[in-house]
Amino acid sequence: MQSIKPVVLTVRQINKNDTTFDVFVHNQVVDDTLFLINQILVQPSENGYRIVYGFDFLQTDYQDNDRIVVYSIPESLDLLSVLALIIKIQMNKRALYPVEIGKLLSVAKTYNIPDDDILHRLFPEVKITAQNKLIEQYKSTTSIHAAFREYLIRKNAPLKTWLLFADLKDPERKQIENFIAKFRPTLSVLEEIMLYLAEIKTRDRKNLAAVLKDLNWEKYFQAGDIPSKDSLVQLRTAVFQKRYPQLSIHKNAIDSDIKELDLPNNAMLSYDESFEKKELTLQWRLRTTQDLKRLQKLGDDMTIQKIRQIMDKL
Amino acid sequence: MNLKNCFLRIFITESALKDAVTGAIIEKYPGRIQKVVPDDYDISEDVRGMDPKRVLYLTHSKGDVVKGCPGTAESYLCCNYQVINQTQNCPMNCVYCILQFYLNQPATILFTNFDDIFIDLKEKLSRQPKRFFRIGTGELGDSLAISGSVFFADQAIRTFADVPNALLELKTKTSETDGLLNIPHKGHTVLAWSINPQEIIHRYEFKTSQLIPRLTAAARAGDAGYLLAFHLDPILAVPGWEDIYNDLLDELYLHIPSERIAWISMGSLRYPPSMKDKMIERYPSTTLPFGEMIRGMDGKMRYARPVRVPMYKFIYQKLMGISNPPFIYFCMESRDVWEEVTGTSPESNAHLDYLFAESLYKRFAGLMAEKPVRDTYKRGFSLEQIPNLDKPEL
Repeated sequence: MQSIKPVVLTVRQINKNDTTFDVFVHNQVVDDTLFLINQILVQPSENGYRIVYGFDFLQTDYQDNDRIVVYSIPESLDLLSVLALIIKIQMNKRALYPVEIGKLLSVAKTYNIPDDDILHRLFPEVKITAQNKLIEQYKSTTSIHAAFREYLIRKNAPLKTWLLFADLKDPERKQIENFIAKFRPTLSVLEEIMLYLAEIKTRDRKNLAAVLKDLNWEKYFQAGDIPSKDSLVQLRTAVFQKRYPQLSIHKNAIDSDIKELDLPNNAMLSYDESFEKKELTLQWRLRTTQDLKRLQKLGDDMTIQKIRQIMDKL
Repeated sequence: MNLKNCFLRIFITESALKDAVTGAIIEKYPGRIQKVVPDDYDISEDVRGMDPKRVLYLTHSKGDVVKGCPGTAESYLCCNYQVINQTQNCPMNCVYCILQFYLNQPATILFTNFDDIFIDLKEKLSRQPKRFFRIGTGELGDSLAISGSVFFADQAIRTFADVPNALLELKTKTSETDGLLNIPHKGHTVLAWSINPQEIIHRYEFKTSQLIPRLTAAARAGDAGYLLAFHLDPILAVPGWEDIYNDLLDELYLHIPSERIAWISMGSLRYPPSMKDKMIERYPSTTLPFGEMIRGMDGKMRYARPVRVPMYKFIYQKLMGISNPPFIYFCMESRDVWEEVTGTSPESNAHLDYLFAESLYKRFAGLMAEKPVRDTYKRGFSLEQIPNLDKPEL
């Protein structure tokens, strides 16, 4: 690495319009402390200096005539090395978000950096395994709509989850966005729903709009008095049923039979939801004589016969 | 199906170069780039970026080639099958095939030290003389899809002809098996076909023989005195499965008399979870990974029991609906599934192994020297395991 020198520049000397390296998510709040521990990196270019790192800090209310200390890297430093350098700096703070890696790779591709160099110079810096397919996958995250991007960053979602949002187009995008706004689902729930929707779409060879229509998606947003938590349960059930129709029929039949047993609140009869184990688990919390009597009643012929039937049906 | 030009490059290790069969194999691929390499040479860099299915690597085996089938976790029953891994990889392209993801090697590997393999085989078989083994070459590749495998099959058939306590099973999706018909097999080789409805072959089994050619090849093998076997594996839960599997089974019994069939296996689609993404990546338009799969007790993805049991029941009842039905078993299924479908279940892997022997003894007179004794199978050693020789075999 050629030497990096501190230089004093006026803000005007830095070309803010050259956003080639503006790949990292900007910190929303830049406080004094942060300013002290971070630096702006620039590189001489035709129009003065271009920022290579530290777009965050330049966002603060500097006037064009303000004099600031920045660090300048040599003009001769090639693009691949510059990218590797800024990754290294950023990785000292935190792991990169998939969209940031996507932007870095987009820059590399724009400047015709060969895939081999990307895989063997940049991927190790980001600490991801060098696989060709990942280049396109990360790049595709850059097209994800801002509403999802913020959500995915906030939830620290892995690449696999980001990819579920990569192809969303209007108006389906809006429908999914409404869903997130209305239910504020956990990342796991959102992943589950998005994955099932994607799989249903491919399996049934339909577009997402058709799948959402089949599911009567909008219905769950108009459920007036029903608390959204219940609506979310209903929506998840509907999506699961669409994804696993036969399994759902079987599960519903078993659930219905268990309900018919009319077990008390302190008892629960459960089963392996994958149905690989053909067995029931009975949990019974005993506190009072009444609980014991109720447990005794479970042993009557009628109830045992019903449980036998459930076991057979499992 | 044309697999004659399947290899673009051939590597021959110095040790393999001395084997007579090596010359015979490379003659089958004229004009292909050949390179002789030291035995410890790593070809990875030479073939970087190439499909391992298009690269042939002829070499000598190291370690156990003859051994027990790895099967799956104990929560599912396996049959104590034994394997000879002489060929590793396959030129065919079945969408669901685990080999394309499981074999982490840069080439299709063929071991050419046949003599060593047969000496090892006989020695291992002699350790448990009272047990009757089923041994197959189709575990890590098709038994007959490439010429190196066919050369091995030829010699294996002749070898097994004189082995009293084992049956060789050659498992294939090809139909070019007529070259084997005149080999003196003495009834100790089972020619087996993996079969699926024609619609499934068309959609998911690329570069394989179509259904009817497979069945007519099987019929000719039966006429030549070979025992036959069929593997309905993987059974796929596709829309309209009843109709297509019904047609398949009609065709099977139309072509093949049941008394020639040593066994038929059933197994539904299953794969390690990591294979799902790889399947989607390799075959983007396939819908196979989007079936109603759950993670089974062995960690593999498989159709949920409420999905696969109805298929098994349908197929089993159809297979059993004839006089003298063949021995039918499940590959990697739970006892619950056995009981639901057949009304009974083997007690253990060893018991299933014994049931095979019992069926063969009853159905094929003269195949086994004496009636199998269940206790002999209880010990259930794989061939690579060395039984306690201090204790006499039961």
